[in-house]
Amino acid sequence: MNPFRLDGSTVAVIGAGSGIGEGAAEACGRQGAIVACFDVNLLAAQATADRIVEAGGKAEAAELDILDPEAMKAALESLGTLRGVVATPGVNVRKRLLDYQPDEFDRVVRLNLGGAMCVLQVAGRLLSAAGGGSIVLLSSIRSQVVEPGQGVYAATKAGIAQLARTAAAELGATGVRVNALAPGVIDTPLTKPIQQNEAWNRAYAGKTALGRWGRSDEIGNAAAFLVSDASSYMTGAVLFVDGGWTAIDGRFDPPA
Amino acid sequence: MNAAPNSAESLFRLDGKVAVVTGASSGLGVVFAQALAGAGASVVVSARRQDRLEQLASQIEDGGRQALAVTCDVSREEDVDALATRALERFGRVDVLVANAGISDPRPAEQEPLEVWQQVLAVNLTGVFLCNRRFGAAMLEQGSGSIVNIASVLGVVGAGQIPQASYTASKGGVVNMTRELAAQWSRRGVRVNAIGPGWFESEMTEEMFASDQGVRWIRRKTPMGRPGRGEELAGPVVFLASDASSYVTGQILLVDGGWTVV
Repeated sequence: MNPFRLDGSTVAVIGAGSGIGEGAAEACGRQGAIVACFDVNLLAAQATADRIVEAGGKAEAAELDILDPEAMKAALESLGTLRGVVATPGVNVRKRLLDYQPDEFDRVVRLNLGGAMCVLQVAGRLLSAAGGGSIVLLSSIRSQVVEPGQGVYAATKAGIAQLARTAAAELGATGVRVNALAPGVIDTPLTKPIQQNEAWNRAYAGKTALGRWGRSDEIGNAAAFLVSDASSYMTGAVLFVDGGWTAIDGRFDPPA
Repeated sequence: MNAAPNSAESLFRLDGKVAVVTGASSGLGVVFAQALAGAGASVVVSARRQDRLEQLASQIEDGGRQALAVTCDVSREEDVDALATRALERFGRVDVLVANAGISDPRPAEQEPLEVWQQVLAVNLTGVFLCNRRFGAAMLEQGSGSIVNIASVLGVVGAGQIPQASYTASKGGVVNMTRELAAQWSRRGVRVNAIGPGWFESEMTEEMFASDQGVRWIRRKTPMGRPGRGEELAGPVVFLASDASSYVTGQILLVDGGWTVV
């Protein structure tokens, strides 16, 4: 038996409409899961589901706001037995701390940390009552290292890591595993503007040990691994998929 | 099974790859060797004890993969060189190294003899370095490879109740050497990661698992409420060895049932 396969299992991906969520949904689909693609943008979720089906997988799509616990509960309950829930929505307002406005702070904290909390509560209750399952949250390299202008985002991503660890400790005995993925710089629609700035693009690639940006399918594969039985003794882990960004000090690349 | 789209089948697979596992005569080493063979790799199994290796190699061959058993004490430079020579002679390349060989000798630090300290460091840290250096060089020449060093939760937290300064120091050394080698080699195609297992039943933990007190301690302190089962390390090692982890390098994958989060 291949422990990486998800055949016949239902996996919910919240934020499946684009970027890393899309990558996670497609990776779970490739491993045979029935993928429930949720996004605040229904058309985008449907497009991801369509691609999974076109590739020979199974998927459906529905609209869901990660900050609406009642709607999330109803949506997840309607899926029957759930193998796992992956949640990716997040927002970043790049601004230095002294310039941050209260409404910007609230928006970032509310979606990033509030969304993760909502998923933990709703999915945690459902999965623990059902006797087990896997929850995967999206942290970031910013949970560990920072950059000017990313303070609030970094704080929420560190907060997500600690929520995941605490949930792992609280839910361990129920059979529910909770882990977080911490991506580095990933090629997504959200990061396109950065990649279009040549110097910035190069600087970020150069900060990694691999010397390149990551792809959303590379995060997706890690998400599928954490949902699957291949990671059955992993809980409370923060898995960095960052090309080595956090393992090295690579700000300056000396001439050879 | 139908081939899944976008080569999902090949992503978490090692078909056609050659893997070397040290410390393969017992416990977790056997799990790693069988997991890699199960994912399609030819496997070179090595340890100090040849008899058990032959048995494992036969099992792997019975499963339809190629295997080679080589006796090796990883703390001896000439042994590691000979292991690499045999592996390369037989298979022509090495794509995966699982540096697993390790020993432990728990004693209170204030009574830990220097010879014990030096022996544990020689196998657990110097041995891992020698294997990484030799096989890493071969992988750099090929321009590709994946190294998985077997560290421990005791490379990131202390033990105390099972006192072993030498073991914890050696595993902590493996943790940061893994980051350094990832920094040196990743751009040349060689990813270097580590697995930090929590409490698994093996020869090394025999004593602890033999006592009710030891088992109770593990159950009480592990968020998942139980020790790990050997086969639960199969997924992590195949994930790190395979292309499924193509953007993962310099990482310590903790497979510990939550031991280190509380």
